[in-house]
Amino acid sequence: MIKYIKIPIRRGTAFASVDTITAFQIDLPYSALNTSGWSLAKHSTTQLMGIEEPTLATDLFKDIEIHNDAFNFAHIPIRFEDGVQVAYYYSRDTKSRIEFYCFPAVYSILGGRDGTNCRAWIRREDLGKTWSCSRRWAFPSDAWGVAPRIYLAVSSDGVLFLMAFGRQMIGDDNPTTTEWVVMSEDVNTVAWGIYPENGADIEKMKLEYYFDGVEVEETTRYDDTDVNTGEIKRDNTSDIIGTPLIPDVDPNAFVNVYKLSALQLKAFKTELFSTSIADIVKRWWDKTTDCIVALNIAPLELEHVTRSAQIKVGTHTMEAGAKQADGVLFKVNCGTVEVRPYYENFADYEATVVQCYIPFIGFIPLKTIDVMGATLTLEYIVNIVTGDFNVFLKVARNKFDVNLNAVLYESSGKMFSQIPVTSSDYSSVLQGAINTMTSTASTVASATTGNVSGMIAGGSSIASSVLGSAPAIQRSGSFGNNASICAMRRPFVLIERPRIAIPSSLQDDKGFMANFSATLGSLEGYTEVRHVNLDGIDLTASEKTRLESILKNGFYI
Amino acid sequence: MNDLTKTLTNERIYNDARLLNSEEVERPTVTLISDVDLTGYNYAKIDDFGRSYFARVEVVRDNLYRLSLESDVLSSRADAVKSLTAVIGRNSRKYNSYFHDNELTAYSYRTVQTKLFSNPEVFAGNSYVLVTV
Repeated sequence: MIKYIKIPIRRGTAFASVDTITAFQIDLPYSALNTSGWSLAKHSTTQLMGIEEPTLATDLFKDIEIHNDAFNFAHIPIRFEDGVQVAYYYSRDTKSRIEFYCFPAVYSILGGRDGTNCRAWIRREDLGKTWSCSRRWAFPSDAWGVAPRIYLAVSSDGVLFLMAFGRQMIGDDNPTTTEWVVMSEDVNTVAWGIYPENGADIEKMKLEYYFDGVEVEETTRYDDTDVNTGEIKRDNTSDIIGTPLIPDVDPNAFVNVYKLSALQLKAFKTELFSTSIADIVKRWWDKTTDCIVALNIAPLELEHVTRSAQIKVGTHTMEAGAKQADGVLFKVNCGTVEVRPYYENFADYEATVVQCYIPFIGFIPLKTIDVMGATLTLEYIVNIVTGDFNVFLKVARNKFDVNLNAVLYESSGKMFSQIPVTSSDYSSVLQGAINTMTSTASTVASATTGNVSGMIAGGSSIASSVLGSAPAIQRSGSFGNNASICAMRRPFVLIERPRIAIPSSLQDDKGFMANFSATLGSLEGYTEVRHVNLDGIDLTASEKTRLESILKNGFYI
Repeated sequence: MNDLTKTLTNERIYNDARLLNSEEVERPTVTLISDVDLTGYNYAKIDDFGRSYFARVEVVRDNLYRLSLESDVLSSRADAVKSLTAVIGRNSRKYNSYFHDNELTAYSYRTVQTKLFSNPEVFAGNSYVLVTV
């Protein structure tokens, strides 16, 4: 699993001041100084431009997020403030990654060990483009005496500078120690160059979405309680709706439930069909295999089944051993995933589609307004006797004054794959498979026709160049129980979002949407008024009409 | 044209301009004699009317100019406009990004991103489950 630290650089994030370049030092893993980890520190321009070995600067960063707390070192939340703090992150994995978000591009450095060398990859991803630009530095083993470092500098207008400091490079495409790598706007090229004093020769990438405005909060605040009586007027609370508790039911009250390895299953079969056992079994059943209620393949390890036991058929205890289950139902927790807003505007909700792939169920559409900004938890309750399951998707989010923590999506299915033990078993399994294929075909057919027309309807509004609601399409059919075993088994969330085009002068020329009351003299820039009263202004009637039209259609303060 | 505050340059004052339609405060027409070429001018003020005007200048004959004026309602009452309280619909510096904005456009292509749950390998293995009676 790749562990990474994400540092978003978006509007309002004070990573780069106007006149200086903020740089980050990253010590790669397996260096001599920190034997297996990263360090992250911030440096001043002076230290870097002097190409001198900086001291490990100490500073706090804004908006750093550590996405996997399974570092060996204690998790330290990082905030960007004036002041100093040293932050070290260690990982025992061979690869760690730090991502820098400079909207709309993501820059990441992957550090990894390759034999005795420590390599770093730089790559850039733009929304809507596939990355194709990467460079690699390798540090020979004789450089282990000092920690290898890669420096990243982000200027105030979005230029990313990279430099490997003071180490012998390997390979023709590696920079010298005094060169900077500049990731140009063309993702297919990487420009190498010596950093000039004024930076004029370096092709610059635009921070298209770097806004310097102020977000106005909701203009109407609803008080939950009456200020005079304390009585609750508006209920903004949300009850916790969790997954059900597992009832304590012994599966072995009548039947016997075992987990077996392949070898154990073979040993069971050999013993079952031996002369001595067959004679015993046939006291109760006509056929030897009638003692088998079910034989399934479960698509998971069943690690909770640990009690060793000998297999029983009827009242006879066999020599063959297995692990016996102690409960009918058990939980499977797939963990959590966060659905993060990307644009931090209405497009995250209106024009973004979220779906969840649930193993043994397929893709289910999620309501974006339910899950955006929320942490989703996926949990199964499985019946070990039948292979039936219920799956629960819980949504946790504290936003918009509501602390939501509830199961909002639930489904059921069957995840075990039946192994027929008789010819009649096989016939019923085969029929089940045919039924599944038929229903899947009809599902796909309806998806193809119904949703294409829906997409065309959605496409019309987008063709008019307005961000509109996005249609969701069905991405999978239904799963029959025996088809489940070959289906994808890793749960994930699929997020489909638009690629917004915002001209660089839009903020100044047209501003952004607002809905608040203000005195016009307190505002700046382009302004449109929704409602205004011109009574008391000394103008003729027609002049007032013209003035109102100007104020509503837009003017500059 | 829709700037509340305008920067005026090359100001000239004429005290002997003649008003052709004295009853018209909003769209007056004046003539004046000027030894300076006024064809490049586009703005005027008439203090007696308390207004600023957009001006269209015509040459009548040598040194005689006719100015067709239309009141600049925004600048004429700039102070009063600044003191108005209004419900703001759009602004360059104060806004709320969570209102739907028809000015934002989208490319035809969209991006697709997949995010695994934090424990994605729970179904990585297989087991045989035998149920006997």
